[in-house]
Amino acid sequence: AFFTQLCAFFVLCDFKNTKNAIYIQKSTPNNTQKQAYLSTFTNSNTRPTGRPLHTTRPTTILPSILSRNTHGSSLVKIGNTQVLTGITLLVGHPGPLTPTHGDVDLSINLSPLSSQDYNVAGRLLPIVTEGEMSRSRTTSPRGYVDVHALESLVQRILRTSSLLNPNELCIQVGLSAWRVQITCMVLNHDGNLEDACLLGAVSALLDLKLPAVKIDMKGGGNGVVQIVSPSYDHEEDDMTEETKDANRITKLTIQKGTIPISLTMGIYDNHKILVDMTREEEVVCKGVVTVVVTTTGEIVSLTKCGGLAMSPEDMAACVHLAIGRAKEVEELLLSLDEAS
Amino acid sequence: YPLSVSYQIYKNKIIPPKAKEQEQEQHKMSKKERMSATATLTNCYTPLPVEFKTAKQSKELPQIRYSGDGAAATPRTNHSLRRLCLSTSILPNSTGSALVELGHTKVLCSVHGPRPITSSSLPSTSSNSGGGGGSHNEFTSSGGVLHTEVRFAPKFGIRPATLAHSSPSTIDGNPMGGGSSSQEEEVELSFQLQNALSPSLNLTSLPKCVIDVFVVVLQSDGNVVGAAITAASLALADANVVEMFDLVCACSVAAVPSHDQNKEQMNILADPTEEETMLAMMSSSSDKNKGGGVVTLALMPNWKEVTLWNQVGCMNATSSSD
Repeated sequence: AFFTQLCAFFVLCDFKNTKNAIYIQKSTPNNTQKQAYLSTFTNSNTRPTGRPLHTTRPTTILPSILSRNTHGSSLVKIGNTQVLTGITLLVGHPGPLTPTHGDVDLSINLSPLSSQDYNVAGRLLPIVTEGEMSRSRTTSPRGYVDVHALESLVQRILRTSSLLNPNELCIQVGLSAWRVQITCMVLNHDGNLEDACLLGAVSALLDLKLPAVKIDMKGGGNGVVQIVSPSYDHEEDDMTEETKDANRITKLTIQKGTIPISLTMGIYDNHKILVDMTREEEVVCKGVVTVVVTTTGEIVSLTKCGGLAMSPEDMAACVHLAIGRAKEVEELLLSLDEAS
Repeated sequence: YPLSVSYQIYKNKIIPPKAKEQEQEQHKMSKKERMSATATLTNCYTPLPVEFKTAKQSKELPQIRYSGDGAAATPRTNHSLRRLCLSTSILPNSTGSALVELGHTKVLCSVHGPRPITSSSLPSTSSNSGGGGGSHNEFTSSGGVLHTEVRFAPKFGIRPATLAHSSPSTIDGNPMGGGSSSQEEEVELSFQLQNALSPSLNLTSLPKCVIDVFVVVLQSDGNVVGAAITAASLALADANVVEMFDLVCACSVAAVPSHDQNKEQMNILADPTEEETMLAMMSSSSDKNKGGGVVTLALMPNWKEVTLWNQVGCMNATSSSD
C-alpha cells in the first residue's frame, strides 16, 4: 500500500505544475557512511569543520535575558547548541531534619525548536524510513536524548556539588524556604546538551536574585510569604516603606572554586577523544565520557556511557581536559558576575 | 596486586601535604551544608506579590506608560508600540526561525517543512486534534496543510504570579492548577494563528505536504497574539519554502474605561502590557456600564486585507471602531 502511494505521489508530481511541486526525500546517510565520512577527518586529527579534536566550540553566555517573568535567567550557546534557562521560585515547608535548607529542582524541555525529531510534547517522533537509520538511535549512547537521564544527571550535579549553600535559601527557620525551580529549554540541539544545560543552570543560579519578602500573618497559622516586588518600569508617587525595602535583593554567594563545570567527550575509533561533539559526531561515537570538575581540581562527577573499554591513561587524559575547560569557563562566569 | 597490598599503597598515597589543610577544612565545613538527596520541601506554593493597600492603585492605570524592556524606560503615548526587536535565522536546525520582542514580550517561532504526509494522516472534517494546542485546516482537494502550535515556555512563559491568580488555588506550585487555563489559551492562540496565517500562503503549490509552525512564548507581557503572528510570518518568509502573498502583521489594542469626569470616553491603548490587558478584561466583566475589552487585528499591509479580527469583552461601537 505504501508503494502504490509512493507511485501515486510520483505521478502527482510529474503531471502537476512541476515548476512548483517539491518532492522531499529524507536521504540521510546510513551509519557506516557517516563513520567513513568522519574517519577521513579524524585520521588526520581534525574534524569536518576544521576544529581540532581537543577544542570546544565558542561558548557564549547571556545572563538576565528574561528579567520580567523569572528571577534569574541565561542563554547559553555552545556553537550552535542553544539552551535558555529560567528560574522561578516557590516557597515551601522544609523537612524536619533540615529546617534551614531550601531546595533545587531542575527540568529540561525539548520541543520542535530543538530539532525536527521531537514533537510538541518533547518526545521523539518515530522514524518512517529504513531500518538502518533507526539502528543508530539505539546503538550509540547519544543516538537520542534521554531527557529524564539528563535531568537526573544535572540535578544530581547541582545538589551534590558545593556550589549552593542551602541555608541561604531559608526564609523562616523551620517554616518556609525557597524552592528554586530551574527550567532549561533547549532552543537548538546540535550536540553536547549536558554541557550546555549544566552551564545554563549554573549561570542562571549566578544570576538569581532572591527578592525581599514580607510575611503576611492574616491567614493565621505560620503566615504566607509574599514578595515585595521592586518598582521597575514605573515609579510610584507615594512609596511606602515596604517598597523601599524592595530593593533589598539578595544574590546567592558563590565561592570561586566551587562551580561545577562539565566537559563531554566522545571516544571514537578506540583512542581518539573528540571533545564537545556536534550532533553528527555524537550519533557515531561508541563511548561518551562526561567529567564534571571544579577549578580546585575536585571531581564532582564522572560518567562513562557506552560499552567501549577505556584505559586508565585515556581516563586521566579526559580529566585533564576537563580541568583545562573548567578554568576557562570559570573565568567567563566570574567576569559576567563582576560585570552585572 | 593482591588486594591488601594495593590498599596499603592507596592509603599511603592519600595523605595530604600540610599546605593543603586549610583548604580541606573549608571543604569539610561546606560538606556539612550540602543538600541531601532526599530532603525536599513540602506544600510548595507560588509567592504572590504584596497587594497594595490603596484600592486606587490597583484599579487605575499608572499615569505614564513605559516602553522598552528594562530600566531605561522612556514614556510612550497611548497609540505607540513598545520597543520592537526582530531577528531571523537564529535557530540553525529549523528551516526558518524568527524572534520578536515587544518590550518584555518575547516570542520565538520555528518553521519546519515542507514534509510529505500520507493521505491517511491528512485531517478530514471530522478530525480530533488530540490534547494540546494543535489545529488543522479542513481538508481541501488540493493544496498543502499548515500546522500551527503555540506553547508557553514551561513555568516561566506566563508570570507565575499571574497563573496563580487565574487558577483557583495557589497552593501547590505544580502548574497543574494553572495548567488548564494556560492550555486553553494555547489552543486558542494556535487557532488564531492558523486563521491569520493561512490566507497569506499559497498552499496549492505544495500538495500533500505539511508545514509545521511552532511558536514558543518565552515571556508573555501582553500582545502575545500580535507578536506570535508577526513572528510566524517572518519565520515563514525566512524559511523560503512556500509562496507568500504578503507578510502578516498583527497587534492588540485594549480599551480601558477612564476615570475622568467624562463618562463616555474610554482610553484606547495600543500594544497593551499584561497589566493593561488584565485591567481591560476585569472592567469588561465587572462594570457593565462602561465595558472594556481587547481587540486584535491581523492584516496584510500591501494587500490591505484583514486576516484576523478578534474582540474580547464588550464595548460600544465607537470605541470598537476606534
